[in-house]
Amino acid sequence: MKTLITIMVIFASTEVMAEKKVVYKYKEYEKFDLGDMEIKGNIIAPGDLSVKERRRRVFERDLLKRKDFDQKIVNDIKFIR
Amino acid sequence: MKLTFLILFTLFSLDLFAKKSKKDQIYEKSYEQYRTLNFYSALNTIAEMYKFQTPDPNTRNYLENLVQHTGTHYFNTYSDLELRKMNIPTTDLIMAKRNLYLRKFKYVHKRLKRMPKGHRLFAESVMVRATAYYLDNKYEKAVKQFNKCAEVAKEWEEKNDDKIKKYFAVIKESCIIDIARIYFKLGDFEKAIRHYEDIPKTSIKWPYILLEKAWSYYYLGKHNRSLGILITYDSPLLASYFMPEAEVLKAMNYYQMCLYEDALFVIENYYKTYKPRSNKLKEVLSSKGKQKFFYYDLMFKPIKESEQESAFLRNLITQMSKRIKYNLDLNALYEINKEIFRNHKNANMKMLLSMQGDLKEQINHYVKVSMFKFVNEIHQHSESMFNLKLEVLSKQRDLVYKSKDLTANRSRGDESNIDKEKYQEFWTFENSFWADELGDYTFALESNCKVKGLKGFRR
Repeated sequence: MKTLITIMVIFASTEVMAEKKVVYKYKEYEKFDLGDMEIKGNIIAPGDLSVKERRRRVFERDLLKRKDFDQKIVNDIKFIR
Repeated sequence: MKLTFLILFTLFSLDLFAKKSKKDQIYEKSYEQYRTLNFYSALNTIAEMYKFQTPDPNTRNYLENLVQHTGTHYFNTYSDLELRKMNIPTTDLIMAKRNLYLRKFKYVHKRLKRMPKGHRLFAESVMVRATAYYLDNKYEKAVKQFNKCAEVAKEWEEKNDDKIKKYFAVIKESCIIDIARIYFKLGDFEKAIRHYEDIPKTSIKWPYILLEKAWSYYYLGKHNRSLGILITYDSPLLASYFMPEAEVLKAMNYYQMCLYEDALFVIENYYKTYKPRSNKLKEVLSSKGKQKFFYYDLMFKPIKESEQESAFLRNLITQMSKRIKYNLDLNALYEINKEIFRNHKNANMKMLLSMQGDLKEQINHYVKVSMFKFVNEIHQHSESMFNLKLEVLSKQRDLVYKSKDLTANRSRGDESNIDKEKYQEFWTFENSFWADELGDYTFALESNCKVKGLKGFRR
């Protein structure tokens, strides 16, 4: 039994060692003729211009506000004498 | 021991007599100056002595009498301590005003507590007290005091003539306007308008309150009324009262009514017309302003000359020449000059010449500050106009993006667009202007704020 196992191990390892290394080779030069290429499909021309509305930023500047006339009240006193 | 005591007592009593006689001498000298109509010299003689000690009641009455002739500006250079020693109603009022500017309201009331009701400065003192309450946010008390001020000033106005009458009229009108301003601050614009309307059109204060009244109508949303009031400044009678803020408010009224083209027209006009004028004024002031009494001399230049230099210059001179402070200071200067030219032996010439110089400098400074404030105001409001212009352009752009248009076309307007109160009448324009109509105009424009979709466009 021992002998059989030993023979099988030797046989298997010999087979693994026997596998060749694969070398990939790429084409060094290839030419494409784009004009000769054919694309299958239907051409659809746009019939309407559509722009997706986006939320615009609202600019609100501070307009002139008159809360009181405090300075004028004090000036009225200053301008008397 | 007895002998020593007797000698000491004699020396002490002699010293007292000597002091008393020195006081008497100064009083007599001052009275002599007063009798020979050298009022400023007389005031200086007696007031110098009481800088560090309180005068007796008789001297206090005498001081008050002198101040009636000289005005109060003599005490402007006195410190608070020196004024307190004087202990007369005039100096109390000056101190109260100083405390008001420093916002020390407690001391304003403390100083004015003793002001006699029959004193000629009583109305002014009530006005100062009312202002202190106002600045201290005690509005009810302020209204009460301003009403009292108007009543007292009216009584004095009725029993006086000429310049004094005008002084009390200004006090009375200022107090009524201040009541309107309180209601304005509290947001009660209707009440504010009713008080503004109590000011007669002949008053020197009237051109200034038009702007305040226009603001009240603006906040009430009555833009046609507001525009009508502001158009009054275009009248030839009010040509001297150009107010940059009025132009901004005009444009803002159009903006609120969505009359964007009109708003832009006012804004462009501001930049094209008023800004170059203001730059020209600044140029004149910067080039010649370094002369010592340039601003003082300016007030006496012939109108044609000042008009040639800058269009605004003449306007400012006219406005300033009507102010009470300017007139009181100028009046005091004339009186000092009179005393100098009379060259009486009792006159204190050194003091008079120094006082003349001080007063001229004071007027020069006052005019200078007022003019530069005006220039600054124009530039400050040009920023407000710029912001408004951006807002108008932004609104116009939004309309384009949303493919919308404003409803109404700009037209002369219609009577149906006017809000009328029960007490307000309406007459159509009949190709003529009447002076009594000034300030009562209204526009009749339709608000353009409702928008509609533009025809022929799809959303």
